[in-house]
Amino acid sequence: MLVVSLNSEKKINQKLENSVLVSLDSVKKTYEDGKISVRALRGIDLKIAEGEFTTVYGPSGSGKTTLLNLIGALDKPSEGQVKINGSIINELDRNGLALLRRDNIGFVFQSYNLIPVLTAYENVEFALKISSSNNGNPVRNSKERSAQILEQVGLGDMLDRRPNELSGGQKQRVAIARALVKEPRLVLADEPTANLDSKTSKEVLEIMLEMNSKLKTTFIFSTHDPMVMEYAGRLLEIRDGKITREERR
Amino acid sequence: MKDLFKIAWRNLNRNKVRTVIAILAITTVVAIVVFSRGLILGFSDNTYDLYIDNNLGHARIIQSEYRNREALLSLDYGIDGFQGAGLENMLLEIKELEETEYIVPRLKFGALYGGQANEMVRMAGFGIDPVAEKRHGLLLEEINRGRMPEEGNEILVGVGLLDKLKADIGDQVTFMFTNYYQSLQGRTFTIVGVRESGFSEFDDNFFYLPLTTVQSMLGMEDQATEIMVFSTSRDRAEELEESLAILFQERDGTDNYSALAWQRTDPILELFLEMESIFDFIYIAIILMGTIAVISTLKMIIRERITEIGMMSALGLKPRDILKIFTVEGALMGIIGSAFGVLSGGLINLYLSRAGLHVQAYADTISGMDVLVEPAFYPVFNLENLLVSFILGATVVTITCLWPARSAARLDPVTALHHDS
Repeated sequence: MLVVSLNSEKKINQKLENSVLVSLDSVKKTYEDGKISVRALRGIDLKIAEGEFTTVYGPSGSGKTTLLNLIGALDKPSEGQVKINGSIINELDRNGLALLRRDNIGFVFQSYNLIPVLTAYENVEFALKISSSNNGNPVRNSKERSAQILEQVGLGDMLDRRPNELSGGQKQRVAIARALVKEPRLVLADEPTANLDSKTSKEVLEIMLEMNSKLKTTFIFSTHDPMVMEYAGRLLEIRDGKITREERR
Repeated sequence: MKDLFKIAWRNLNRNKVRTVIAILAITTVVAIVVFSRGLILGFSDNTYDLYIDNNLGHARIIQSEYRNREALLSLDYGIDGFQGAGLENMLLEIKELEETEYIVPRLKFGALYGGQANEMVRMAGFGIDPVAEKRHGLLLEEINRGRMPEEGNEILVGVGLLDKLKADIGDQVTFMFTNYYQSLQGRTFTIVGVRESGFSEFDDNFFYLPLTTVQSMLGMEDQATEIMVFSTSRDRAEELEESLAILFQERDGTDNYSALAWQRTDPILELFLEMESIFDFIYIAIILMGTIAVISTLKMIIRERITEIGMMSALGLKPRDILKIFTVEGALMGIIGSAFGVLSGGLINLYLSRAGLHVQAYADTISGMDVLVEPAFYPVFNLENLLVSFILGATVVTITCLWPARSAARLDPVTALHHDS
């Protein structure tokens, strides 16, 4: 583990400017719940370059999930600006946000969130077809691509199984395949190992790391899990809605 | 869209009991609509046909003033042709019209019979053209004994009237009547046939004899009081009415005669036609009641699948696509329910269209009324009813499903994803 020095930080910042995928500028997020307002993020400045394998960690309620929601174009900031792959999400409507997610972002959830009535293969193919159906350009070889990515995550012989016929680790692999099949620039994983044992967690992380190096996909995790942190190339600690520590490896 | 359809279809299996209950609700209401429509259509069709066959034709020609005096069986408003040129010539010209299929002229008059024990029987006689009546077929079908009167003093009497006269086929009866000149006359007729229509108004009061005989005994040569004109179907009645009006204008130049399409001739028929449109709203209301089950089911489904909706939204599905998934799911329940409803309602109608639905209290009420309606209900079994009910069921359910589906489409993805189901 290495805490970056001032010089190397300058070099990294220069490199980042050239290939920034995600950029947050003075981002604040406040939730209003009746008369109570909760300040989930209190001013975040962050740039994430393409191909980074970043982990956001911190205690519960620190703002990890809120940060991921904003980076995932699921939500808009109350103040400041969030830019993803050149698009300022503050300026997009619901359909615009949906298109941005479709074209750029894959999600891996803690509870997998697979469509229970579709098989592993169909879950993956569905994600691929959404992108093709919405932009009017049918994806070529969607069947082959879906089967291939499932093969890559080690589920080549379980294509026709429905989620209820898969273990937790297998479901998460399907979720990873679903996130990666459309070859997004960015994959967001919200506590992806929270429901998995340590052996399965390791396998899942290995897969994501492999995809990161093969496809140069940017990964951003939120986690409590020290094992996930070990895999990260960049660590961001968040507390009380602010980034309090950053490490690069 | 194919994938959205696949998901919606498979989702139906996720909670089979709930899906079956929702489908059953639609099946029930659509079956009720099929049956009700069949019943109402059957009732109105039968009634229209009864009025058309017995009294109105597809268009009825009378002297314009006769309408107000018909109940008195007045002879003052006979049809004596265009410019008084005679009935026969007028009939020939009407036959020439493209819309005319055949014509049934009649001359109606009142008569009395003085029976035993000073009993007086009041009757209505109809001068009929035997050839035209045979072509029309109604009287011929309803003769239960004997034959049609062909010439001279032969008469056909209603079965109830035969009882009142205490006579039988072959017997001679003498009736009294006033002729066109208000002169009281008497004439003896021979009963050659008995009509049994099933309607007391006809069977107890009416008798029929050759038109030429009536014209001669009433002093109304070459005249009739009414002409029933038939086209190829009752749907052409308005065309026929229009052509007749043009003919009258051209040939007579006065408003002496009126030709009215059957639906404008009797207020009770106008009422039935009005009611048919009112019933269309009632059918929609019935189906809306059934959609409550589908809407509640969809609401439950959406509540259960909030996280799933959030995930789909995260994948990049637009609100419109999420709306489609839930609308298709509701529509499938509507389509399946409507199909079963049409099937079950159709089978009920098929059986009852042959066997009839006999409600004694209704038959008793009707028998005392001066209206031409069947004493039993015969629902119509036809493809049009099944198709209309199916489309109505499927469409109303689909449209109402847009409401819960819209709420799913409007869910905030963050709230949905972190919903604690």
